[in-house]
Amino acid sequence: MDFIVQLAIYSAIASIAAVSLNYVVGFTGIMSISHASFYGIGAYGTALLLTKTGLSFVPALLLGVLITGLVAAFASVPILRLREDSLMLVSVGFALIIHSLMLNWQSLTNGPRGVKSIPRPEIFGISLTDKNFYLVLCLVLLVLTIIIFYKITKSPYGTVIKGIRENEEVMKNYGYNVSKYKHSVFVLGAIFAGLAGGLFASYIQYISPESFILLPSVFMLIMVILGGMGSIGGSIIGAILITVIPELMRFAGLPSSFAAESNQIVYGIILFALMYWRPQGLFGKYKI
Amino acid sequence: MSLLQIKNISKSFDGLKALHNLSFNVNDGEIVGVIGPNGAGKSTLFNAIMNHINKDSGDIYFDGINITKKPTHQIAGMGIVRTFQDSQPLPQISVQENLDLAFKYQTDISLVSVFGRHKFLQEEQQVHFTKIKELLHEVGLGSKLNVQAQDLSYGQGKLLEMLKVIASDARLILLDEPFSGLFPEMIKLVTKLIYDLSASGKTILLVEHNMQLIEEICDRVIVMDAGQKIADGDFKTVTKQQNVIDSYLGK
Ligand SMILES: Nc1ncnc2c1ncn2[C@@H]1O[C@H](COP(=O)(O)OP(=O)(O)O)[C@@H](O)[C@H]1O
Ligand SMILES: [Mg+2]
Repeated sequence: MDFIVQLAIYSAIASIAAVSLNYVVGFTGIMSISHASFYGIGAYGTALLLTKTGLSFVPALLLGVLITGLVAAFASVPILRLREDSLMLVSVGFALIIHSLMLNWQSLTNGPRGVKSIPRPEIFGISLTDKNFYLVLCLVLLVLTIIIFYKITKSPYGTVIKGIRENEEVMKNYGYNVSKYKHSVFVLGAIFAGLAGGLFASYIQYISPESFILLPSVFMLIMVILGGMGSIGGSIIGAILITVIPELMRFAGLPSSFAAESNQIVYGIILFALMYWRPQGLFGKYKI
Repeated sequence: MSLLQIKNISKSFDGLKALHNLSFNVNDGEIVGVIGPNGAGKSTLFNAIMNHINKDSGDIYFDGINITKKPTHQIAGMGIVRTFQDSQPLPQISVQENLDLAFKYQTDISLVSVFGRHKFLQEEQQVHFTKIKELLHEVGLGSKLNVQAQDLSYGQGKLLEMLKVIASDARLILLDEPFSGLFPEMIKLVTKLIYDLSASGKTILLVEHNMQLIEEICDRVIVMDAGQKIADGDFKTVTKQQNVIDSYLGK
């Protein structure tokens, strides 16, 4: 039971990250591979505020998210100046820089040793050290995330960002300030990645730079592509599948060391299968 | 005063002069044809007006305001709309969404507004939209509002592009080969839409290779060759000019 709750918590956190990544990549067409970096900034921000300042959970999480948004606002200036392949490459560059900062800015981040003993939260006197309560918190925030992105993407604003995905030049010629929209999408997406990261840090209680290198960004992208670009429900299914598949493989009796390795094989095969047979993903309407 | 003033604009691509000291005016309400051989610089002219490309020199005025260096979206917001050569609607969104986007032209939707009042159209726009819906029926797209634009035929796509132009309600309309690849009956529909636009007071610049259509539709014709204006006047006069015959019509 404990194990199921834990998987549910991971799935909910992954879902928040995947839905917000879909907003950036699937709805707006900004091909960024730096989502795990914002996830990581949210995680580090929250963890450091909790351990170093003694701030309690809610303000620490909110500040962590705010910091993520600020970093995204600055990073988006050089990143969004480029498009398509070039944008993808600079977003990789950004991810490398952030990872390197986590490793080398030792006085702040504690370097490769990571941040230990991150306290689990207490909200309104209820201790969420109990996993069940933590799951409830994660689910509440997931539902909030879904409502927010659902409302945005169904609104005229959502039509505009889909138009930008389809053709930026045409949108400019119809009077839309494309770059302004893209910045706001990028920052909001990052903010929710930061939220997911903060939740992750406080749950797992120990983070290190290794959790936020490039690979997790790729995994998040696989969740989105698997579920379908531009489908919020799809991203949640994608997040759950990608979270649960490795555990199922362990159940299937594979030795855990091998299971960890074979994860990546499975993800790789999923990507091949999608690109060849179902580029719109399980529930998506749009092709990359 | 002229609605559009092009003053000595030049643009080179790696030494190739796509626009060379080009100047002309367009008066309010005119339909002006822009003709010339492939590579003459017609599409580049549209790109220059919208500041889609940086010009090397020259100035462009719209309604008396210098728009030479304004960003594209601001130029569009002032009331100019352009179609791209061979343009098709945005493929992976619906016909309705394509029209909505053309509509909201000039407006600026903030993220905050998403959570407040989220009516797409203001009341007066509603009237305009009713008109567009009628037009949709007229051109045979009435049942296609919820269809993804990529599922339309090529010709239907071009018609939708014209309806988007109408929806935008821009004062100056730049059409880059709106008839290319169309069957005769579609050509008739597009022609009618252009006449409608003109009747409602719009000013139109039309790039087209079909001389019959140019003669039929345009009040005036500008002939371009190698980035320069080589003739400017009514169709009959211009097409008798020897340099026009040599560089374009003779071929
Ligand atoms: N973005 C560009 N880069 C390089 N050359 C260009 C570009 N756009 C246009 N040209 C060149 O400028 C010339 C004029 O092109 P264009 O305006 O498309 O002609 P037209 O529309 O009259 O057929 C052509 O020689 C074309 O190859
Ligand atoms: Mg052209």
